[in-house]
Amino acid sequence: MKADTVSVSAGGAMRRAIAAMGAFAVVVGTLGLVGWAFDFTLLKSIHPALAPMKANAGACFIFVGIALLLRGLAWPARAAVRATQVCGAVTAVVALLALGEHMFGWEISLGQLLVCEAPGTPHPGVMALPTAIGFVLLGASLLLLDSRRGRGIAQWLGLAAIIVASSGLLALLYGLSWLYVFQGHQPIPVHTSVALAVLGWGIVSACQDRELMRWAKERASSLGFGFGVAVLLLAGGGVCLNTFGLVEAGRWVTHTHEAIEAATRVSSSADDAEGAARGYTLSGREEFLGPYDKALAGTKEALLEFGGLTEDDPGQQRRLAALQSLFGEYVVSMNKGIALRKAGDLQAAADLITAGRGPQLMGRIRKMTDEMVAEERRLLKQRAARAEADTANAIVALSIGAVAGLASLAAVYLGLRKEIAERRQAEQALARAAGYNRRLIEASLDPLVTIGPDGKITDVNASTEAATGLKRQELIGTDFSAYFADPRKAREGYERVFKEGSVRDYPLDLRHKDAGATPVLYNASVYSDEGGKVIGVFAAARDITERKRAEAQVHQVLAELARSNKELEQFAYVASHDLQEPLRMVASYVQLLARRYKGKLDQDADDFIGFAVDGAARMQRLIEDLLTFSRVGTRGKAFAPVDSAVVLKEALANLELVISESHAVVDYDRLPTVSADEVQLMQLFQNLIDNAIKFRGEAPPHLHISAVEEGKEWVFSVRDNGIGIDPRYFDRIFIVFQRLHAGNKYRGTGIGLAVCKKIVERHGGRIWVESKPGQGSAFFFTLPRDREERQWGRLAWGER
Amino acid sequence: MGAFSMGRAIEILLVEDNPADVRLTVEALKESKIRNKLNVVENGVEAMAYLRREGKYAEASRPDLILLDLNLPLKDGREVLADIKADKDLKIIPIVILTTSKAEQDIVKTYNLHANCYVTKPVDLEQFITVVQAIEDFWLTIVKLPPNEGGK
Repeated sequence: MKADTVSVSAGGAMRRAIAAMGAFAVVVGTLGLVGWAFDFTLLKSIHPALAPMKANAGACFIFVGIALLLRGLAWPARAAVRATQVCGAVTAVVALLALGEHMFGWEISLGQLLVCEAPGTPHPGVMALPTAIGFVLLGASLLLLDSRRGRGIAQWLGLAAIIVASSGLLALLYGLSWLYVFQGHQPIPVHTSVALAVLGWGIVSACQDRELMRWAKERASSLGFGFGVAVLLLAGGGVCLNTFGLVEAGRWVTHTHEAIEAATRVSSSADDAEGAARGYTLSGREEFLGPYDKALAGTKEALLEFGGLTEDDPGQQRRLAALQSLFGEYVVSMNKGIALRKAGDLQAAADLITAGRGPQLMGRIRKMTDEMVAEERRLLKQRAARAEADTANAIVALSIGAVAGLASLAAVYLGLRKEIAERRQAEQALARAAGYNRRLIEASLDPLVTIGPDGKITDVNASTEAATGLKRQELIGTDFSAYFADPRKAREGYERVFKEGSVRDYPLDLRHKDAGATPVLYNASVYSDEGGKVIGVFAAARDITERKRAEAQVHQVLAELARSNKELEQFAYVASHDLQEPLRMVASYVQLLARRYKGKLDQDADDFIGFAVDGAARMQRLIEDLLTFSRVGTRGKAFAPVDSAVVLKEALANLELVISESHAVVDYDRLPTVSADEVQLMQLFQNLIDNAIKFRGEAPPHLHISAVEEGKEWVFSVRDNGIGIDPRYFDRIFIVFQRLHAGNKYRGTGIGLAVCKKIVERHGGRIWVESKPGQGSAFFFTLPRDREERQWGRLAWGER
Repeated sequence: MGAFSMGRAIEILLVEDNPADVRLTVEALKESKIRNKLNVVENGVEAMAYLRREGKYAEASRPDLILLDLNLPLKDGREVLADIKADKDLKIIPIVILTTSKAEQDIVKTYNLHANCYVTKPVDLEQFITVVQAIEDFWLTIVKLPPNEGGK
C-alpha cells in the first residue's frame, strides 16, 4: 500500500477530535482489561446484569484507539502511517479469528490468553459477533486509510462500523430481538457499542478529504442537532418502554404470588378436610361433617383458582390435572370411610381414613402442591432478574443517550456560537472590505461604472461624475449609452462584453454635459452572482486625452522628421544635379584652355590652368558621390528576397579589374537569402570590398566574406588583411567625406562607407568595424530577418 | 564614303539654349575633319520655324542632322522631337538627342518619339569632343541617308 500522505493533515480541531476519540477507545479498552484482571464487574460490564466487554474486544479497542491517537497527535507522517497499518492488521486478524469462532465454530479463544473466563458462558473469551464484524471493518479501514484510493473505501467502512454499533445499542435499548438475529445469545455490551461507534466516527473523520466527511462538515450543525435530538428521543422512548416493562413485571410478580397462595390453600384445605373426616370417624359426632364439606369445597375452589392463574403454563396445568385426579380419588376414599362409619363399621372406616389409603393419597397431594409452589417461586425469581436487567440496560442506555445527546447538543451550541462569532467577524471584515473597495473605487481617477443587463447604469464613482458633469443620482438608472458621443458604438462595445466576457481598450468619447467630450479607452468585464449568472458589466474608462495628444505629437514629429529627411535628400540631389551643369562648363572651358594654350603661355599660366582642371575634376567627383549618397534614400527600390551570394558575385564581377590589378583573393562562406534592395546590397558589398582592397598592406589583399545568424538578424562580415584602422576613427569613417588619409595616397572622396552605412540603416541594420592598425579590419553589418524591424528602419527615412 | 564628301559643307542644326554649350559644340566641331556648317537656334519655337523656313528663316537650308537638347525654353525638346517626327517632310532628318539628363524615363520617351539616338553630354571635355566627332562621323560618313532634297 502506497502511503502518500497521512490523511489527517489539516484542521487542528479535527485532529484534536480524532485524538480524543482514539484516547476514549484506549481508555475503554484498558478499563475493560483491568476489569477482567481484577474481576471488577463495574469495569467489565458496568452492571452485573449486563454483558461484559470481552478481553479480545478490549485489546482491539486499544489498538484502533492508539492508531487514531497517534494520527491525531500529528506524529511524523511515516511513523503514524506505519503504526496505523500495524494496528489495523492486528485488529483485523483478531476480529477475523473471532468471526471464525462464531461462524465456523473454531475453538481458538484468543481472549482466554489474556483472562480466564468462567466456563459455561457461550464462546468464552470471544467478543460478540457484531463486535467482531465492527472490528473487521475498523481494522480494514485502518489498513486502507493512507492510500488515496483506499481512503474513499475506508470512510464507508467507518460508517458501516457506526451502523453495526448503533444497531447493537438500539437492540439493547428497545429489546428488539430481531436486531439480535446475527448476535446469537450474546448481546453486544453497551460500552462496546459506544466505543465502536466512536471509533467508526474517528475513521470517518480521518477521511475528512472524502465526500462523506465533506458532506457531514457542510451540515455539521444540522447533523449534530439532529443527532442530539434523535439520541434523546430514542433514550426517552427506551425509558418509557422499560417503565412499561417494569409495570408488566410487577403485575407478573403479583400474579405469581396469587398462584403460590392458591396452591398453598389447596394443600391446607385438603389438610382441614382430612382432619374433619378423621374426627368424625373417631368420635362419630355429626358436627364434624359440616367443616369436612366446607374444607372440601375450599380445596376445590383453590384448585380452580390456581388453574385460572396458570392457564398459560402447560407444566403447571399438567401438575394441576394430576393433583385434581389425586384429590378426586382422595374425596372418594374419604366419602366411603364416612359412609362406613355412618353404617357403624368403625373398624373399616378407621382403616380407610386414618391408616391405609387416605394418608397415602394425602401425602402425594402435599408433595404435588409443594412442586407447584416451587415452580412458581422459580418463575418469580427469573422474572425479577429479567426486570432488573432491563432496568439496568435502560439506565445505562439512558445515561449514555443523555450524555451523548447533551454532548452533541452542547457541541452544536458551541459550534453555532463560534460560527455566529465568525460570521459576525466575516460580516465586519466584509463591511470593512466593502468600505475599502468603495474608497478605492472613489479614489480611482478613471471613471468607473457598473451597468445592469438592461443597459441601465447601476453605480458610478466620483470620476464619472466629474467626466460627465452629472450627479450620481442623475446617472444611476439611466441608459449608459446616452453619455457617449457615439451611443451606437457604446452599445456595440457593451454587447461585446456580454458576448466575450470582456473587452480591452475599447475607444469611445465620453460626453460632458456642457464641455465637449473626453476620449477614453474602456476596459470592461462582466460580473456574476454567486450562481455564476451574469448580472452586469463593470467598466473602467481611461482618459487618453494626454496620450492622444502625445501620440499626435509623436506622429507630427515623425512626419516632420521624415519630411525633413526627404527634403534634405531632395536638396542634396537637386543641389548636386544642378551644380553639375555650371561645373561642367567650368571644367570644360578650363580643359579647353589647357588643350589650346598649354605651352603657349608662360609656366605660371600652365600651373594655374592645371590646378583649375584638377579642382574642377575633384569637385565633379564629389558631386557625383553626393548624388550617389542621396540616391540611397530617394532612389531606393522595394525589398525582395535576394540570394546574397548571387549579389556578392555580381559585385565581384563589377570589381574584376580592381581585383585582378591588386592580385586580391576573395573567398566567402555560404551566404543566406535576405530581404533587401538588390542594387543597394550589391553596392554595399562592392563598396566594402573596394574599400578593403584600396587600403591594402604590403601583402596581396586577402578578403573573407561570411554571414552568421544571431537572434533575429544576419551578421555579415567582410574581413581583410589590410592596413587596419585606429579605433579612434571607428565612428568617423562612416561619416560623409571624412577621410583618414591625405588626398594623394588613396583615391576616393570618402563617401563609400557613408553610403554603406546609409544602405544598412535603410535596411534596418547596423554597421561597425573591428580593427587594429596593421592587423587588418573586419567590417560587420546586420540585416534583420524580421520584417517588422526592417520597416522601422525604413520609417525613419520617410518611406512607407 | 558618305554622301557629303563631295565638297559641300554639311548642315547641322543645333537646338541649344545655353551659349556656353553652343560654343563648346562649335569648338568641338572646329576640330572635325569634315567640313560643316553649324546653325544654332535657342528654343523649340525657333527650331520649328527654322525647319519650316518661316519668317526670318525663309532662306534657311534644310539640315542634314539635328542636335537637340531636351530642356529648352518656350517649346520643350520633346515637343520639338514629336513635331518633327510627325511631319512627313522632316521626319527623315536624323535627330541626335544631346542632353545632360541621364534619366531613364527621358531616354525611353525620346526613343518612343523616334529619336535616332540619345547621347548624354560627357562632363569631361576630351570625351565631349570625342562624342561630337563620333556623332558627326557616324551620321554623316558611315550611315547612308536619303538625299537632301531641300538642300541648295
